[in-house]
Amino acid sequence: MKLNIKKILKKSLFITAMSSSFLFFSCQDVIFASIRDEVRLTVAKVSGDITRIARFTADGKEYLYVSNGELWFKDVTQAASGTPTTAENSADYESTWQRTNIPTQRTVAVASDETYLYLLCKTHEIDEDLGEVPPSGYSLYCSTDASEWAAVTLKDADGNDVLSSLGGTGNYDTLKCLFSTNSVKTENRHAFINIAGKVFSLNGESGTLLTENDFGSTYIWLPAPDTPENHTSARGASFMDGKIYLTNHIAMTSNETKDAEADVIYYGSGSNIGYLLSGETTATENDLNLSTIESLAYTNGSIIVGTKSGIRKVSLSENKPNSVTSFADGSNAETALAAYYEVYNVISVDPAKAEGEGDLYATTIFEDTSSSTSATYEGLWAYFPGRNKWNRE
Amino acid sequence: MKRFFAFLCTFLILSSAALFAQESDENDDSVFAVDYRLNEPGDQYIKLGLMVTFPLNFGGEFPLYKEGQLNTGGAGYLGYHRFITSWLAAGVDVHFGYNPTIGENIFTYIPFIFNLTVQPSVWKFEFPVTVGAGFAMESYLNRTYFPGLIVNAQAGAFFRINPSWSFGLDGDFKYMPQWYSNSENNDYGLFASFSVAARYHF
Repeated sequence: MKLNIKKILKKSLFITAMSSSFLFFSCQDVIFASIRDEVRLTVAKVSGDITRIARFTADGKEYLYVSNGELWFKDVTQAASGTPTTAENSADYESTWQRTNIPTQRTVAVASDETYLYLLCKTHEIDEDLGEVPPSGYSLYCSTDASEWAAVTLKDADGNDVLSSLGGTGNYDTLKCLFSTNSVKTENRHAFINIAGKVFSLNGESGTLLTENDFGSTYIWLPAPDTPENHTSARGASFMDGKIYLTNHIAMTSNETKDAEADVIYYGSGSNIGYLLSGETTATENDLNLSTIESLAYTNGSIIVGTKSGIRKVSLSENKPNSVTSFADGSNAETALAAYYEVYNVISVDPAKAEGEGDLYATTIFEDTSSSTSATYEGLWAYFPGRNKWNRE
Repeated sequence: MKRFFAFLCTFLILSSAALFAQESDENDDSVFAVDYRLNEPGDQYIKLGLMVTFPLNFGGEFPLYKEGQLNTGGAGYLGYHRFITSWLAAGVDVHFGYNPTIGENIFTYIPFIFNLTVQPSVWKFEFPVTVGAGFAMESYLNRTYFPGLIVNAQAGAFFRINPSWSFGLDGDFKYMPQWYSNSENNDYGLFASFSVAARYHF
């Protein structure tokens, strides 16, 4: 009798342990419902490693420019003025990106200010000893029409040309050294380049080296600590209250729209979203359990966040980052720009529109080799409200 | 008289021989009687198969379901079964399956299915009919659904080549529901498969 009870107890404990382990390791991620939101991917027109998406205004029209070794542009005047892309105004959502001439071999990054489009380029020379074709030099150009280019000359305090300091294997810092406020309002656009810790404000064919005297008045450092050492690592900028905010974080944006000045600046600090309200001097950072933030785009009521693990959406409460939330019903954002991708850039053409109501663009890459057979595309994506889907551009 | 006596002896000898022969036949039948069945209680088999899997409720058309949200995929399975009676077996199968999605991603699943098999047989042909239920690990991108309920039905035809091996074909149907606290995400998958399989009997 005792033996039977022991056996029964052992079996019961075993079954209980197995059942508990099921509960302990259970996962309930949405799968079939997400698969139903997928769409067939189009053949990409603009692919490759895209470092920046720049807004540019020329001849009264609004454009987006991207560099992927070449230079591509798209007329987004209609979407920027409040009419998002639908099937009625875009035949089958066919990509209308066009390629334009570049002044030298390959482009690295693009930025803009109120007047000029800036293009950082690199040349390659064959190293026959090593059997490689490494970058041999970098050059910066500007243009008012993205057609005729003029070389930009940058000299430090001693009168030395500093562009020659850029070089090496085209590492991450080189790719991200050209940046701008990328404001919706043309007059608030300012472009900068950081070369070996020397930050220049670009003014057409020349640039002005920022000194410590410039910080605190025209230029505000964000976030703390505001130190000369930090100033040398500037990689992001935004415009608010007549001042230019600089940061060492790549991701920075504001809630400026075509009809309203910004009253909040947002930036990505690791996995936190920081924000600074107009009139305040100290930023606040919220930990929303995101992956490392690479890019930010403001939309009405939310922020679209490009991270090292895909795209996310964060809701705003009184302009303050609140919590991670889901994309528009039926959107395939999180399965198209999935966790296997790094979302380097995300931009909202008309930030006055809510997510799901305005055009959005983003770029994806994957670090080193793809960690998944699913993540295979490096390049440009677009979301159009008319189709409520992200797809390749 | 002598002829009569010789005839009588011959008749008696032949009759005795016939009598003994009859008795010998009766003895042989009782020693070599055999009732042969393909499977006996306690017999076991390991089953190995490769299948093509068709997603039935994600749109698209047979056979590739190219326009559907899920496309035709494949799976392999391995199972162990033991006969309780000569026609009823119990066992467990584990499958490894995948289906590509229209967005160029992959849906994968690994079900563990506990099942019962009824297997009538005619000559060397066996016709297993199996029903089972179990749990599955379902994956898509970096998402996981576990444990997912799976209900499975299978029917097939096998030919026993020798006492140790049989080969045949199977048709398979799977029901895989996904339930969530937010019922708007509730969904289910229906999959039909066609497989070739081999069984090792021991």
